[in-house]
Amino acid sequence: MKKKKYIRWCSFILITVIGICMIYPLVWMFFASFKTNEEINLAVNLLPEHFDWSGFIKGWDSSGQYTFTDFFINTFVIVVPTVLFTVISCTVVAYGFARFSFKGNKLLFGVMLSTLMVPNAVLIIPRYLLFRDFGWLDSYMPFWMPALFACYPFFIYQEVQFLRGIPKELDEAAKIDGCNSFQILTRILIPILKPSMISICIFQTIWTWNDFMNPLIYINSVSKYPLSLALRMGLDVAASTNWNEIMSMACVSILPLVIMFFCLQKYFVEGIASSGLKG
Amino acid sequence: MKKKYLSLFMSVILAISSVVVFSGCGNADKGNKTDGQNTESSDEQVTLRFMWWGDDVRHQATLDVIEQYEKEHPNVKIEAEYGGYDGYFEKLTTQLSGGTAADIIQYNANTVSDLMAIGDVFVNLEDYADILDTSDFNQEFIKNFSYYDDKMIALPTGINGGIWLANTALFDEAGIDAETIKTWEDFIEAGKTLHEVNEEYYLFNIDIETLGKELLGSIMAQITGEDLINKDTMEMNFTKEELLKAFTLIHDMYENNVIEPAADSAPYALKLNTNPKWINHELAVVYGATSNIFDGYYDFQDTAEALDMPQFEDAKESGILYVPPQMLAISSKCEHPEVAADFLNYFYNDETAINTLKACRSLPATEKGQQICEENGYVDPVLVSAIDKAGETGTIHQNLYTPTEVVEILQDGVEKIAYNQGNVESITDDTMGLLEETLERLQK
Repeated sequence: MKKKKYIRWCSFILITVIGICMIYPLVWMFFASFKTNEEINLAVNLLPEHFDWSGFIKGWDSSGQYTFTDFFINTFVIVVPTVLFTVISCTVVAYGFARFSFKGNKLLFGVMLSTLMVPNAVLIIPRYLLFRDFGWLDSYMPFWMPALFACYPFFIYQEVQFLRGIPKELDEAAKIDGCNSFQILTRILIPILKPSMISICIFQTIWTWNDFMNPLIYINSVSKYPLSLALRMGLDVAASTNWNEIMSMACVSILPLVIMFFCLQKYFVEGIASSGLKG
Repeated sequence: MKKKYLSLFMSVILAISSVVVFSGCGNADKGNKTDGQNTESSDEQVTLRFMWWGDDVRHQATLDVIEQYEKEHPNVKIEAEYGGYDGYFEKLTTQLSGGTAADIIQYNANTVSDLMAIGDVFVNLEDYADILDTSDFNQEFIKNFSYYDDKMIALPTGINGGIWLANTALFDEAGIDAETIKTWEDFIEAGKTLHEVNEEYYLFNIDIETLGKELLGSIMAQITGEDLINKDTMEMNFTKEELLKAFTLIHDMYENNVIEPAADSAPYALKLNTNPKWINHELAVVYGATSNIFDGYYDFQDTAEALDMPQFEDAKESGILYVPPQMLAISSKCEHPEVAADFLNYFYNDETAINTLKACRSLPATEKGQQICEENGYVDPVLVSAIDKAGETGTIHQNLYTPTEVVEILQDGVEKIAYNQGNVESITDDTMGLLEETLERLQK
């Protein structure tokens, strides 16, 4: 009994220490947004000498032409449809792969998985040319369209694995009760799939929110910049940067993600754990 | 039954998506299609895109100039596409490959060979000589840097010189006369003396990246009097012995505590001014390009001085950096190059524009620009003196056309020396081997 308690305490302390290490950079970033450049460069203290909120105000105004209000709206306009489309399209595709035996099922599944292996760097130019010919440059189409057509093999794979863990008897029972195959998906499987779908939501939100390379290449107009580009907008190789403004805006820009993560954390762990175990 | 519903569902999805797709296609076709002839006087609406990178000061100044120009030319609309330096080059190459780049493009002078490898991406500015007046530019300077394959593809936004910015207060404390530092030997001796006076002091504030990618080229120019690589034949312009000489020099500087140990200075790579030692006045000399020295880079205005670059006794060239910081070019896909040229003419030659831009892209390369900036104190006088020095003795071979891979290999070599991983000779051997391999591939 005593030994058990001892182990519990040890693991508790260990987890706390690791947790502090992980969160420290974020905490530092938060406090750095109140510091002057000199304090950021020299001082070792975590807490700033004065709590000066001007970094938030000036940072929000950005370079003047557009403010962070615009950039926040842009980011939401990119992220929300992208995530919704991804969840819907990937679920439908995964359902197809997991529950229907059609000619070429295995082959197509293999092809889909093999696209996972293609490094992103190889795809940049051909995809850019394709989107150019579609006339999608400088719009949010390059983000929405791949999401609508389930171009995320990783998520499809995750859901297929999850679906394979759900007993087929459930489908059969539903069929006897008069469900058609689409109703089986919406009434029987989607409620069970919820944790997996929510983890897709979280992943896709974080990835799209933080994505730098794609907006950089596809978006030209400053009026359409998302946060990830806006944060780096005033960063030249060498220039007098007001770091507190950048730090404060970085804090603000991760806030929605952090809130979302904590709200959905319960499902998130469930989604990953169960799809991994049963796969 | 079930198949019917599935296919119905899929076709609905397809229908929705195709509507979105086609509306997307429609939007993209709104660009100006008509050919502009003599747009100056006509009322035809012209839209140009101007892309640059920079900091907030540069963004604001450039936006102001655009606004001024638009006010004078109501038929012209210039869309500004600006951002930070991160990823700028990747974006530019992608856009140039796809033929979708902006009409007026700012690019880094040392990326020109990579950009021109994509194709004939910039117009010949000499074709617009009657609109774009280049007579006020330093002619020698644009002859060196504006031409590629005998075409004038771009104009320099300013002049960028190598600067050896010294805090003479430290020299006085150690009893060193800055004037006597002429050779690399003197430099190393001074470094030793300074470090002996105070353990915390180091003479030279430089990071491995600047050392390997920029200064090494300068050192090699002193030794060989050539560019690192012959850009036409892709052959090395130096022998193993010559590289060994340069590497030995770097090794000696680290060995004798002339440079702060690499492991300590690594966090401040490319941001030398954020090194606590620099802020606390414990490092005496910083090397960099004048365009990278900005307001607030150093705070010892009273004791600041631009030194001469140390030389080898038998140096064939000065090795001093003297290049444009950025270039402005007009894309060959531009539909109204004459309007773009007119804007550039305003950008470079108009007094209001110069007074608005000040030195946000370094000291201007035009006579009038320099005069205005110096008279109004837009530029730090120490930087002006460094640029003047570089202008007099600037090296002919600036290594603007060295392939990126070669630069990386040399940089790796320098890094090994800095961290003392093996003796200099074996590192030189390895580096030479890698260079030969890479160049052989590039020659094909």
